[in-house]
Amino acid sequence: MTPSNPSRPLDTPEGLAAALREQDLAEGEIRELAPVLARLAAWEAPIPAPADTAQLVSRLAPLLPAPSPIRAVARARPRGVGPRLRAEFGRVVLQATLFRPWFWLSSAAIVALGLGLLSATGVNRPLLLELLGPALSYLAVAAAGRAAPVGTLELELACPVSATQLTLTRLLIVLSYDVALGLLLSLAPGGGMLSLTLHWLAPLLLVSGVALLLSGRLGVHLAVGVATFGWVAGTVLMGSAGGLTGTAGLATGGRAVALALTGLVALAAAVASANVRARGQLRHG
Amino acid sequence: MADILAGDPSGLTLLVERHHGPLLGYLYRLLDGDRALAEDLVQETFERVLRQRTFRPSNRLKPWLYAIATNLARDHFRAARRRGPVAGAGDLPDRPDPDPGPEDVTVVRDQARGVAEAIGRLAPEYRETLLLRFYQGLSLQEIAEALAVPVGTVKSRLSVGTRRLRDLLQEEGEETS
Repeated sequence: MTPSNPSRPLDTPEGLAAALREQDLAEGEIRELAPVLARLAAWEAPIPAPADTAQLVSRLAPLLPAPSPIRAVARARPRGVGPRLRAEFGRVVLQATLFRPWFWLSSAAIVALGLGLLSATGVNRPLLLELLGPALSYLAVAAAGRAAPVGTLELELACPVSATQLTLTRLLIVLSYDVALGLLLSLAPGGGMLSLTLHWLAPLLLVSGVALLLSGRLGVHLAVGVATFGWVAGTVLMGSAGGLTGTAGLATGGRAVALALTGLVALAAAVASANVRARGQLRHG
Repeated sequence: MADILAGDPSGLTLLVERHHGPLLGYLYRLLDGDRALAEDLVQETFERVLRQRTFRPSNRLKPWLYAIATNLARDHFRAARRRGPVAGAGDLPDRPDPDPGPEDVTVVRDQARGVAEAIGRLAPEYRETLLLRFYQGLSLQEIAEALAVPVGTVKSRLSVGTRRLRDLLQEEGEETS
């Protein structure tokens, strides 16, 4: 009869001595105890025959939970480049349909308003751009991040893609739309394209990143409120003493680049944090 | 384990094939060599694994299995105490090796009986700890998780238990000689 557990300390004198050593016994005690304890190997236990094990498995099989249809869907991933690309495109289209018309229309309305104001004379164009960018961020994050605080565990389980993929896809959609609209602002007459772009892009990224990061703790609406109000207050108080009729802005030159980079880092941190939280929810759900 | 709880039959087969023998060995020795009862409790251990949903991926499977098996054995002992002593439980050892000759068998049976009786005379907490350590090969940390006690307590039980077992084995040896 063979031992039932091949890695047990009793199998070799060295293994037994090592086990006793791990119990903090002195070498003298180990020398004294080991030969006595080696006698334990004489008491062998029965080994189940493979047929017994198979029989046990068949007795236990009816107790298995019914296979989860959700997991079956999750496992049915498309194979091959073509089907995968089609699935990716379908995912983008599906995600785009999640945003209601008010998001697309109100964002476009903000840009239209901005274009109107930018073409007026005597307006602080940098400041106006720096306020319009975060306004787009507010709408984007409020629309894209709305599912975060509502506990959609079943939805997460039912989706064949990860929470990170969904977050990134949504983020890409709204930021692409905002950037495309923002570029229209940069076409306003009377300013350099790059300079004007930085004025709205830097705060847009910064406010989006900070808002998404805060939304994990504060909820989406409070987070976008805090981030947007913080930027507006900071811009008005520090960046441009002349207000809307002045000529200076906060997001200029190197500072604009730094603000944009900070925004990108915050976005990356927000996505990573959302991923960690989603994994935690799935693990304990 | 997640696959099993999701209804994957191959996961169940793997789990049972890997742990059937070790769990049977543990319960057989813990229950004084009562193979039929050990078989029943092994099956009940797996049934509890499938029925209860307390397992977390961060938990280690082996200590969790032994925790369930140990609790089932404790429940059995408690119920047996309430019922009173039962004669005939555990004829040791129940399956001698068929290969050795008659004299060898007798010696092996005597040695096994001596060891089984010495272990059977240990208090339950020492018996569980020593069986998990020496026969099942669990680490100190795994034993601590299985018995829900600190590692320090495991070390102390091993220290006291091994000395007590040495004395009992020496007594047995003197009686047989």
